[in-house]
Amino acid sequence: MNKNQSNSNFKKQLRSFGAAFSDKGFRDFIIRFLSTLFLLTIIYEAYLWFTEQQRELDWITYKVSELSHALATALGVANCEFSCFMDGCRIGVEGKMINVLEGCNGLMLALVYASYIVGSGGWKWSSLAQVIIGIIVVQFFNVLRIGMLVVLRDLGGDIYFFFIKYVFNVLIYISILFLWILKPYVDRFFEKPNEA
Amino acid sequence: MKLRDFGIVIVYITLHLLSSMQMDYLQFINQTRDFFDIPVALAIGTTYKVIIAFAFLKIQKVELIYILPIIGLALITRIVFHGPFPIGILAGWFFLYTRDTENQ
Repeated sequence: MNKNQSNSNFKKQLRSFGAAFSDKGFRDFIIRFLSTLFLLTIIYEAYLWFTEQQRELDWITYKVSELSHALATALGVANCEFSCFMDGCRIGVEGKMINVLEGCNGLMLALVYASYIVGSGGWKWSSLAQVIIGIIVVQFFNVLRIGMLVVLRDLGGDIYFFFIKYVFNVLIYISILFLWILKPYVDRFFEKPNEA
Repeated sequence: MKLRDFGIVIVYITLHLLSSMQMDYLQFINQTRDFFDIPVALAIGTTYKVIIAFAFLKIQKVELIYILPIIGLALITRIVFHGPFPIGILAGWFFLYTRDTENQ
């Protein structure tokens, strides 16, 4: 194939951009994914607005911080302090504190994960179960990540601190992919009692 | 999932996070938390991430007509909903991947 031919093929494919949306399965996935993400984000934002009106920190950020503090203490960080304010929590040893803000609670990641589950399978009981399991897995890695960051900050390794942040991101992303891989098996598990 | 495809996913996520690391470092040296304080870096970083995502999807043999909507989906996930960009890419890719595997 010469260069002109491959160029015209590329242009043809680009022109048929809308063709992806004539694929019903793909179009339905995109619509379900975005509408679920929209709906869950609205609910979450409404909850954040409500807690802000109450002049409180949201429960998820508080719990993630509290568990991370417990993990850091269990891992041997002496005099590990923990204090929360309206905009987030501070964990660690005096002078080496870590700020855990609302954006660090991992919930947006869990919502995108949930949107894929609903986007590919629709609203089903098995989807709900997978969303709950997914949120627990994401939060488990998140607590592990923040707890480890507190420990590393205490040990004084700034490079490790920087490094571990991204290592845990890779782990969280891979765990989400594994949960998606398990989806057909979970669906089958939930379908079996109905078939009987 | 084939080991080759899983390996490509790991490489993609690693390359994406390496660019995020650069961006975080730029935020750190500019003493800001807002990416709009460093707009040039934001534009370059976003373009780089889109190129990596495009290359990932192309290597995974996703057709071009699907690549653009998937990148669009990931950008909406990031910009509108503040979700993670690579998970948007992986969601679109994995949907097509499982569908194709089931059809084979």
